[in-house]
Amino acid sequence: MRRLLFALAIGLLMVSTYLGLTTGQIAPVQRNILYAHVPNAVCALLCFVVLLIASIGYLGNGRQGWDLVAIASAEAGFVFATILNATGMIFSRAEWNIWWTPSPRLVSSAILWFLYAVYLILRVSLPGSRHRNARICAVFGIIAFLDVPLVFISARFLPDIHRPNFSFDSGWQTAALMLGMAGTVLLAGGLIWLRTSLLHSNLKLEEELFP
Amino acid sequence: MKDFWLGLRAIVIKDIVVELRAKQVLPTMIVLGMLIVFILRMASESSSTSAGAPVMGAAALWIAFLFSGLLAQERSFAAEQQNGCIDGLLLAPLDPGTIYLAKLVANVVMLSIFELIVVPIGLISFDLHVGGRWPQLLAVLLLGNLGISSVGTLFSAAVQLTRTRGSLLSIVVLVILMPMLIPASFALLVLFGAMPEQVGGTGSLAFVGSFRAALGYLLAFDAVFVVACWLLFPVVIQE
Amino acid sequence: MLYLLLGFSVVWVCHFAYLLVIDRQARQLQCRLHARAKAAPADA
Repeated sequence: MRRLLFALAIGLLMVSTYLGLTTGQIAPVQRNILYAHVPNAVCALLCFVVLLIASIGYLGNGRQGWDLVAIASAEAGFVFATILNATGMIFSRAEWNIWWTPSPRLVSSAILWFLYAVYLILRVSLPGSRHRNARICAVFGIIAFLDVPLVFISARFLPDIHRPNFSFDSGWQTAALMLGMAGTVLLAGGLIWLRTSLLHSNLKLEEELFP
Repeated sequence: MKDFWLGLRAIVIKDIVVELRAKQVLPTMIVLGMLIVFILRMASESSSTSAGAPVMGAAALWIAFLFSGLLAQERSFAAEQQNGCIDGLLLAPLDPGTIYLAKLVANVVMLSIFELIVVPIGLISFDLHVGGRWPQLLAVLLLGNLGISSVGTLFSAAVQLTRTRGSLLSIVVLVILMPMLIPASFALLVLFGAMPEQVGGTGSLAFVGSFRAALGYLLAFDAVFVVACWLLFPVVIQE
Repeated sequence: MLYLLLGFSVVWVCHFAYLLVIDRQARQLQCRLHARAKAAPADA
């Protein structure tokens, strides 16, 4: 089942990339990077929401499963946030000839990346029992989420150097974006699912060896 | 309710008296702040014209607050490690939230003393004039102080009670305070005369828009984070 | 055009890097399961 999910996700992404590189062109052609940029932005935020829900769940419930989902979504979200910032910088270099500028959207994306990075570092370096580690990281996840709405709000409502006005000329472009979106979201779900079950198996194995 | 105030006052007074007697952290904070201001002043030697100075001055002040604030917050729970004081606190008939608020007040007081000394030094070094806007400057400093202390107190309890290095605390606090620094820098830049009160166009500072908006953001940020940290503190402090 | 290629390759490289990390951990897990099965065939 999972293999099917991954195959579907990667297939969709390949089609979207192909379209982005060839036919579905928004003039000028560099804007095709948006086909990769926008879905990854959505997934980076989505993974943070999953992280928030998992953190709240763990604090409320105490069950290990929530914690594993939190770790998985933090890792996946970190990958998506990295891609978000990297493609964003490439896009702005191609479009406006600057790599970065402190505009609200770009700053918020950078903050998102930093939040993920610090979460992962906390995970790895907090000593103490696993439960305490998980609890503190859950607290961090909740507090950090209070910073995240900035990303979303600034993307929607603010005048910014960021948003170019483009409209879709042909069906291929819409298709490329939608396929890319679907593929990335499926990929995010698959990654979180896969990572969670890996962590789960690891945990059960350890519990058997060191009861 | 009376217990709340009694407990709060007791812990605040305890922390402040201990610090005044030990005289350990406060001088370190002040010297660190002065050093940061000095280093940034020297680093910006080339742009010592009146245009460049307010920008560097605002930056220097916020950096000094952040890093010295971290020192203060580390102290607030490091001392409890010895002799198992933290157990004593937890066994007292106090709501854990009260402990948080008391530590928060103590940290705010420490940082305020620090600000009273280092801000004039910063103003002198960078040759900045605030004119008649002293009340606004105090308001900005207080709001920033509250924000830094609220996040720092919570996470110093989280990180400190396991005897980790302080750098872990720094990255956690700095990353959460990143969004607050934008309106905070805007406010200081306006006060130091580097920017007009209203700014249009694109860019992060334009996003803030006006001095009153910056104060509003700081206030909102403080309100949200003090409440959130207060609510989550009991989770962090139980073993 | 160059930027386009750069952008898309960044996306794919990052995704595959993470998949590689997961894959390495899966192999590690499989190795440990193997060892456990060999050490105590009475369990499992």
